[in-house]
Amino acid sequence: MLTFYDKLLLYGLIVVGALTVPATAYLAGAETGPRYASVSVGGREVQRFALPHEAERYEIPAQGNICILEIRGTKLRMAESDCPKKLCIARGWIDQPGESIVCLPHRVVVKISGQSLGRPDSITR
Amino acid sequence: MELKKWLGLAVFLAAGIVLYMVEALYFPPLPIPGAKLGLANLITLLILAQYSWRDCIFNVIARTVVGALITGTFLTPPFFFSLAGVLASTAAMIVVYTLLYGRFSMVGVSIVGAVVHNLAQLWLAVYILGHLGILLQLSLLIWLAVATGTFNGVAANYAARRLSQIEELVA
Repeated sequence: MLTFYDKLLLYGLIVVGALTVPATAYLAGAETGPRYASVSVGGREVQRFALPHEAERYEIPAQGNICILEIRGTKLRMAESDCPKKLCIARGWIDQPGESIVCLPHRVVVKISGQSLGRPDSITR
Repeated sequence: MELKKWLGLAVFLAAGIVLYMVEALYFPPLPIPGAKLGLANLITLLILAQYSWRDCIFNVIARTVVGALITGTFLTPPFFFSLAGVLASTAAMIVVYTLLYGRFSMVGVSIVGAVVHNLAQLWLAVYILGHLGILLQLSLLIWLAVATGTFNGVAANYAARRLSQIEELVA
């Protein structure tokens, strides 16, 4: 059924596949920089956390308002806030670069930056 | 003879579209983007074996367009990925079949087609996204292509033999 050359091609490509692992890991790794979360109030960055970060409750200096950010490993959420609608708390945990938590009344923005492979949004077929 | 050829190609086109549909609608997606079984490639192989390379190219373009119209992805990004993959792999299979068939059976031709299909799509994805991270999938995609290519190639070997038996009976 399979000719000699078929088998040669089959096993050859399996080996080639294995050889590309370190090469592509290197290429892709060069693009995934360190990940960090930045906290800004009124458009000015006030604090930056390298991720992953040890568990911490950080009180954001939001001009006298209560606004507490909870960090746990690579994910963050707004734990407490005295803003009226609590939309920032409802946002829940974020952990992907590009995601953010916004508390408009306190003018607070928490954003995760840095590149990552992420996970697919959808799969095309 | 001309009529018989066109009828045969029409049946192959219909069969290819059905395989494409069945795969798109009923098979659960593999967790790796870009990976799929490629059942419809079986039809490409059979046309390559029974007809000419021109018929082959016409068939894959028609199949991709009609398939996209049915699944509702016509002229959307998945359609262009699909078209790029299918054109690249068909071209590669035609070259390999014309030059090396005999040394390779349908299995070899099919594996080349599957690998080129995945590489073309991956290259297009890197080009569009401008992000090298997806290259991490390269080895997985090659291995998967070898597996699906072998499966389709073995199936094509059997099918080609049966089809030539049927031809003898009819003639």
